[in-house]
Amino acid sequence: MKKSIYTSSLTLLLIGTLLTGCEDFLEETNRQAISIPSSRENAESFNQLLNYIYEISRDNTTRYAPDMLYVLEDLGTDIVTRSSPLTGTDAINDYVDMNASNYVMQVYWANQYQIIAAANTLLENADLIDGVEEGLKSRGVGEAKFFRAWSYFKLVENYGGVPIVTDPITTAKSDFTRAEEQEVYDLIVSDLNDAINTVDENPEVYGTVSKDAARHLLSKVLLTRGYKSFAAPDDYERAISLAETVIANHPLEPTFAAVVDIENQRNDEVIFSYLFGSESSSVGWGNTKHLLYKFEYFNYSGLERGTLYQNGIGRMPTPYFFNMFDPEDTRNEETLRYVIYADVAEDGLEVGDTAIYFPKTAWSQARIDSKPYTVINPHEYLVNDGVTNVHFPMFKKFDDPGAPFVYANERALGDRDMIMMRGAEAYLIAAEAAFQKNDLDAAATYLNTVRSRAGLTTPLTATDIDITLILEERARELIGEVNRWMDLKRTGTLVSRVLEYNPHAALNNAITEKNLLRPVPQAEIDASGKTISQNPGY
Amino acid sequence: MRKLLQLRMLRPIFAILVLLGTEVSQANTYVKFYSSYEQKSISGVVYDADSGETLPGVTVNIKGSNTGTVTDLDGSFEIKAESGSILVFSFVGYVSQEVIIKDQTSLSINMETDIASLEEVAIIGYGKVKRSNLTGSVSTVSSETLEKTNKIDAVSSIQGQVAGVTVQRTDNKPGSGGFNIRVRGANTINSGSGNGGYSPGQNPLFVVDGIFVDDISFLNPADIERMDVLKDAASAAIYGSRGTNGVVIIQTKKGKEGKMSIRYNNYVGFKEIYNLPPVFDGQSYIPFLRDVVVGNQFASNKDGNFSQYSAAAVNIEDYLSEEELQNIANGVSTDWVDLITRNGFQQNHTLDLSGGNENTVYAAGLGYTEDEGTTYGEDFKRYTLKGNIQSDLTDWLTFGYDNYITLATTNEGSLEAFRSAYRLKPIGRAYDENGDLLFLPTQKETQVSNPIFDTKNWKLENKYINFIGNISLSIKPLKGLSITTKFAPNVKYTRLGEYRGLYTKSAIGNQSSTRAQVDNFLDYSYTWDNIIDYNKDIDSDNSIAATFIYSRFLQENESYNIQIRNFSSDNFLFYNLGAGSNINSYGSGFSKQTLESYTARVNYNLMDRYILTLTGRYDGASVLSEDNKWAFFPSASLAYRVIRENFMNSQKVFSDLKLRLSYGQTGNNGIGGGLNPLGTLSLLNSSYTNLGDASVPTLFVSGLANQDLSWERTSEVNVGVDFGFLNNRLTGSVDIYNRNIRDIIFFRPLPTATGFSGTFDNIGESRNRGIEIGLNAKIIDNDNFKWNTNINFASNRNEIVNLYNNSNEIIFGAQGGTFIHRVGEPTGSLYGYKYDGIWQLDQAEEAATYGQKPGQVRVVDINGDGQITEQGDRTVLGNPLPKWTGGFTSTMNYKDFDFSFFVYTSQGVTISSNFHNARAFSYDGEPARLWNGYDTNYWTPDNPTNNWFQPGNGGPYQQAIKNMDVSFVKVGFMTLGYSLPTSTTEKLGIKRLRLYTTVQNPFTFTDYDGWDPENAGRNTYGAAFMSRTYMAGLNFSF
Repeated sequence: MKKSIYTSSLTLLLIGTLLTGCEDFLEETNRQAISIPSSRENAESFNQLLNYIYEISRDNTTRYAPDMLYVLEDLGTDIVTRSSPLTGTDAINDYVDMNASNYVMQVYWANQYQIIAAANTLLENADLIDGVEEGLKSRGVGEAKFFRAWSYFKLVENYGGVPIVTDPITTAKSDFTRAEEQEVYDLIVSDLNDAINTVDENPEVYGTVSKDAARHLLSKVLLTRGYKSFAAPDDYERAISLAETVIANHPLEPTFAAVVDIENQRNDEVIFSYLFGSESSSVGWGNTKHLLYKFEYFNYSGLERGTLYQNGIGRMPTPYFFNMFDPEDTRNEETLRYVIYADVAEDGLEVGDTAIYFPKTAWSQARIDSKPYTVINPHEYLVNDGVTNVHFPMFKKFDDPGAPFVYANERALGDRDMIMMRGAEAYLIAAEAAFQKNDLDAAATYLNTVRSRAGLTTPLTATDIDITLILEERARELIGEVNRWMDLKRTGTLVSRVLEYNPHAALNNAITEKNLLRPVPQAEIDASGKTISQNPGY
Repeated sequence: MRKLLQLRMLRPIFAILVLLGTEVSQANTYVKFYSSYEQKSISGVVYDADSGETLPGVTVNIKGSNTGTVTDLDGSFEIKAESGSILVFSFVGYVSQEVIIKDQTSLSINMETDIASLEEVAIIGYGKVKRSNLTGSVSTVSSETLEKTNKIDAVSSIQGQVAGVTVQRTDNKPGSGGFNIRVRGANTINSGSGNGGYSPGQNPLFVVDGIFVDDISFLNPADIERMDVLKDAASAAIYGSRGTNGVVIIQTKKGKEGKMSIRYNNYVGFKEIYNLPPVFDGQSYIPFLRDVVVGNQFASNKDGNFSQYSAAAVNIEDYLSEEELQNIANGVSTDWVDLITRNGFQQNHTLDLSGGNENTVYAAGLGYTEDEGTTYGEDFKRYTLKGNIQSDLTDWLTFGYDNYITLATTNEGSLEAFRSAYRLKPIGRAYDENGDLLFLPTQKETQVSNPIFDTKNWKLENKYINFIGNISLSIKPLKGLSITTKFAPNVKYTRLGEYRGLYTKSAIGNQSSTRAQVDNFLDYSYTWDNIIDYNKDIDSDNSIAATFIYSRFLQENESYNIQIRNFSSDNFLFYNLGAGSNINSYGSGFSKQTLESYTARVNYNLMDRYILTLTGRYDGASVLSEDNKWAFFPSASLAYRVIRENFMNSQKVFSDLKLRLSYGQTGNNGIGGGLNPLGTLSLLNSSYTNLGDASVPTLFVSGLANQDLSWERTSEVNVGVDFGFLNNRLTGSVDIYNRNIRDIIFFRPLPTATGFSGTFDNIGESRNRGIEIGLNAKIIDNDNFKWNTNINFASNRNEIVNLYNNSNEIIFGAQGGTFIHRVGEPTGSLYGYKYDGIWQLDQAEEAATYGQKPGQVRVVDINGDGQITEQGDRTVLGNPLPKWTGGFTSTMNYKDFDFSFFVYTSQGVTISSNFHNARAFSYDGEPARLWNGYDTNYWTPDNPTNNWFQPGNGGPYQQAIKNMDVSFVKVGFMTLGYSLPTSTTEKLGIKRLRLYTTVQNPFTFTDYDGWDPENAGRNTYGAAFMSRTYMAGLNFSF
C-alpha cells in the first residue's frame, strides 16, 4: 500500500517536472505570414515585394479610405464642386474651417507614405534577397523609385516640405522633421532620373512602368518646379524635351471617342494605367471612377439603381465646366451623358425610352410639358426642387457597364483600366512649358493637335494663348483623369479661379492663399511629439 | 445542507434579537428570560477546536424557541434552559453544534471550523483560506447574492456589488458578452479600443473551476456557487503575468455530502425599453427644419447682418418633396422606434440535483435561458448542462471530474434597425395607403430604408458550443501533503452566420448587395496544473501551509470565413452559399499562445494572530520576444488579527479587528493590451494584384514590430482593515492601495511617415491610488423584522507619472475622440477643445475674429492668443473611467416576506456622447435631406441660450459640446419574495419554496439625455435599447 502511494506520487512529480524540459513550449507558431529573413532565401520575394508597390499604389489611388475617392484631386477647384444645393459649408470644397483634424488630410498623407514604405522595403532588400537576376533587380529598383517619386510629388504639392524617408522604418521612430520643398524635389527628380535609366523602354508585362511613364512624370515635375523660386533654369526646356519623347512614342488616337472607348482602352496613346481585372483576389478595391460625377438618377421615373449608370456618388462639374465646350467639340458628348434611358417600365415609360433629357439650351415650359420624360434645363442643375439635391449631365467617360452597383464604402470592383497618363497630357504639358518659356507658337501647335483631334476646326494662333486657355484645354481633355487641384496650384490660379467658378466656394468665400498648402494632419504632429511643424494659418 | 444554511442564516438574527432586548452594557453577558417551565442555569465556555482558544460572539440558542445568548469575550456563556431542551451553538465560519440538556450545569464546547462555509472562506487561487486568516484583498459574491440579483448573465451579477470593480455594459443586445470590467481602475487604455476609450482586452482574468476563460457569458448565473475577486496585486500575483487586471475566480456548484437534494429555480418576465432620448415627431420636425435653414443662412453669412434671416420666412417647400408635403398635410408622424420594438419575453429554468456520501459527492444540472430583445429579430437562447463528481477512491487517492457544457444561440437581428429608426424623418411613412409596408419611407429617401424590413430580412445568428471540463487526481502520501494533477480543457466552437436580404438597409433592393457571410471559429485551450500542498502544525502556536504549482497553458485559435454576394433569393439565408454568384471575401487564420509557470506560496500562521503569506511566480509567455519571455512576480502579505490580542478583551467597541498589509507584483504580457501572438516579429503578409492581366502575388510588411517589447509590471501596496462593531452588527473593511504600473504596453501611434500607424511599445509609468470601503449593517434584527444593508464605495485616482522617450504626452485617437496620455493626468484622458457656450448675436464681431458666427459653439481660447488652434487650445476634458463608484443593497425580511433592492452608481465619467454625435444633427448642412434629430432647447436668434448650438450652424468646434458627463445612479433590482413557512414546507415534505417578483433595472437617474449612460460612447451601428424587466419566479428545493 505504502509503496503504491509513493510510486504514484513520484509519477506525478515526474510528469510535473520532466515535461518542463520541453524547451520549445513557449516558441511561437507562425502559420499566417512569412518572416523577413526567411523571405530573403527566395528570389521570388523580390518580385512579390515589387508587385506590392503596384498594389498599394493602385489601391491608394483608386480610393483614399473606404468612402473617400479622389476628393483632394478635384473637389474645390474651378471645374468640380460638391453636389448639393447652394447652402451650407464644407471643408474640402468650400475651404471653410479646413483644419488639421480633417480626416482626409490624414488619410491622403498616410496613403503616400504607405507607398513610400513599400518602395523603401524593396530598395532595402534588393541586395539582400538571394539569387535575384541583375536585370530584374535594376529594373525593379527603378520601378520602386518611380512610385516613391510619384508619392513625394503628391505630398510636396499638397503639404509643402515633408519628412523625407528613404529607408524602411523598423523602430518606434517618431521624431520626424519636415525637409525643405526643394530637397523633396531633388529627391523626386533624382528618383525619376534613376527610373528612366533602369526601367524598360517597352515592358514585357502590360501595366508595368516604362521609361515613358517616368519621363512623363518627370516632365510634369519639372514643369511644376519651373514655377518655383528654386527652379532650375532649364526645367521648362527639359519638360518639353521629355514630353516630346513621350509624344513620339504615344501618338494620339484619331478621335476622342476612341480614347474613352472601353473596347479600346489599351491604345497607343496610353502611357500608364492601373489594372484591376475581374479576379476577386487581385481586383483589390477595383476601379472607382465609374461611380463618380453622378447624381441620384434612380429617384426619377423609369430609372432604378443598376449596373449601367452606377451609383449616384456625388461631386458635380461646375456650371463653368458645362459651358466650356465649343459646339463642335466632340469631347462634350463623349464626356457627359445628356440623355438617360429608362431601365424600368414606370409612369408610362417603357424600358429604352428617354427618361431624362438635358437640353444644351433651355427648353420652354410648354415643350417640356409635352414630353413624357423629365427635362432639366441647363440653369436648373443646381436648383433645389425639394426632391433631389442636384441633377446634371452625368459622366459617361469612365463608364464600366456590368460593374456591380455599390455604395461609396464598398469595394467598387470596376475592372476597367484606370488610365493615369496618356499622350494628350504630354502635349498639354509641353504647351504649358512652352507658354512659360514664352514660345507661344510652339504652345499653339501643341494645343492645336489636341484640339483638332477633338473636332475643333479653327486653329489657335500665338496671340490666343494664355494660361486660362491652357487650363481650360486641360479641363476639357482630362477632367477626372488628372489632379486638377495641383494644376491650379502650379499655375498660381487656385484662389482666383475657385472663387470665380466654384459656386459653393464662392458662396462661402473662405479660400485664401494659405490653402495653397493643405494642413499637415494633426495626428501626425501629435504622434511626432510635435517635431513635425504645421503649415502657416492652420 | 440547505437546512444547515438556513439555520446559519437565522443565527445572527437571534443574537441580535437578544441584544436588542437588553441594555447595551449587558450586551455581552446574557439575557434573562422567563418561562413557566422548570428551568436551570447552565454555563460554559466555547473553544475553537483547532487552536483551543476561546471563542467570543458564539450564538447559543434553545432550539425551537426565540431564546438565546451569545458568548462574551472570554467565550463564556450562561443560559437558563429546561431539561431535555437542545442548545444550538453557532458561529459564522464554524460548524454548528447541538447539545441535549440533561443534567449538565457546565459545558465545554469545541467548535470545528467550517471550511466549506460560504461567507467565511475566501478563494485565493489554487486554494482557499478562512476569511479571518486572509491576508490580501479579496471580495466574494455569494450564490445568495447571485440569486438575489437574478441576472441573465454572470457579469451583470457582480455589477455594483464589489468595491473597486467597475462593470460597464457596452452592449444591450441579448446574449452579448459586451462588458468592460476594470478592477481598481485602468492600467492602460489602448488606442485601438472602441466604445469611448474602453477596451474589453483589459478585463480581469476569469478562472472558472480552475480554467482560464476570456468571457463568462456561457455560464448560467444560477449554476455559480461563488465569485471571488482578487483585487490587490499580492493576491493576483499567484496568476503572475495574467494577473495585472485582477482575477475573478468562479466556482460552479458542486456536489455536497448528504441526502440527494433537488432544486428547481425559475423566472419568467418581460422587458420594456425606457429612458429614450428626445427626438422630433412629425409636428415638431417642421419648425426644426425651418431653424436648420436659418442656421445654414447664418453659417454662410458674409455681411454680418444676421437680422435678415427668420424661420418664418423659410419656404419649406424648397426643401420638401411633394410627397413629404402631402404627408405633413395628412398629419403623418411616424414613431419609428415604436415600430421596431416590443416587450421582450425572458425566462430561465434551472434544475439540479446533488448529493453524496462521505466518499463520493456528485452534482448534475440542466439550465435553460431565453431572453428576447426589445427589438424584433433579437433573441438569445442558452442551454447549460453540467455534471461533476468527486470521489475518494482510497483514503489517499481522490479523483474528480467536472464538466460544463453550453449551447447558445444569439440572434442579433439587424445591425441597422436601431440606427435607422433614429435617422428617419418622422414625416415619412412606414405603410402606404393600402396598409402595405413601404420599403423607403419617402421616394426621396433612398439611403435609409424602413427599419421594419431590417428586423425581418437581416439575420445575424451566433451559435456556439462551449465545453469546459477538468479531470483531476489527488494523492495524499503523508499527513498534510497532497499532490494534485489537474488537466482542464476549454473548447469553443462558434459559428457566426449572417444574411442581409434584398430589402434591408444594407442592400436597398439591389440584388448584387445581398450577402451571406459565415465565420467559423475553433478556440481550444487547456490549463494543466500540478499542485503540491503541504500543511503542518508545528506546534499549537505555529502552523505552516505551502503550495507549489507547475502550470502550463496553451491556447489555439482558428478562424475561417467567407462572404458571398448576389443571391437571387432570400430563401437560403447563409445555408446555401453556392446560391450566390460573387465571392466577396474569404480567409482563415491561426494563432497560438502559451504560458508556462512555476509558482510557490507559503503561508505561516502564528497563534492565529499573525499570518504571513509569501508568493512567487516565475512566468514565461510565448507572445513576448525571445529575450523577454520570462519574468518573476513576487508578493508578500501580512495579516494581524488585533482582536485576538489579550488587550482587546478589555474593550467593548470592536467585536473584530484585523489589519492587513500586502505588497505584490503582477505582469501583463501584452495580450491584455492588444498585442497579438507573433506581435514582436516583423512579418510579411501576402496578397495579389493585377499586372499584365494576370493575378500576381505580392508580399508586404504587415506591421511595425517592436522586438524590445517587454513585460508590463504592476506593483502594489495594499493596506486594509477588517472590523466588526457591536458584536458584528456592523462589519466592514477598508482598503487603500497604491498601484504602480511601469513599462505600460501601449499601441503607440507613430507618424504615418513610418508607413505604419504605430507599434506596441513600453511607453511609461502610471499610478492608481484608491480607497475601497465595504460595510454591512444589520440595522434591525428581531424576530419578525430584519433589515440588512450592504454598502460599497470605491474611488480610484489614476495618473501617468512618467512617459519614456523624453516626451510628456502621447496623443492618440480611438473611437469616441482624441485621447491623451499626459504626465500628471489620468491615463487616456479625453482631449480636445473646451466648451465655453454659444456665440450670441451681440458677440458677432468678436465671433468674427475667430472666423465664427452667432449660434455656433464657442470654445475656450486657452492660450488667449485670439485664435483657436490645435496646438494651443486643446486641453484635458475628463476621463472615461469613473472617479468613484458605489453600490447599496438593502434587504428586509418581515415574517415570511422578503424585500430587497439594489442601487449602484458611477460618477465622474466624461465621454464623447454618441447620441449627440449622431443625432445633433445629421445633414443639417443639407436641409432637403435633414434627418431626425435631437429635440433640445437649441439656440435660435429668438432663443439666445447656451444650452445647445443652432442647428445647421454648429461651427468648427461643435464636438466640444458633445463631450459630456455621463454619471448615473441606477436601481439594479427591486425584489419582493414570500417563502412558505417551515411549518408548511415540512408538512409538504419539501425544503424550501419561495415565490418572488422582481423588477430589474427599474430606474435610472442621470442628467445625461442620450441613450444608456452606461455605454454613451458606443456606436449606434448594432446598438440596442436599454430596458427594464418585470419578472416573477420561484425557488424550490426538496
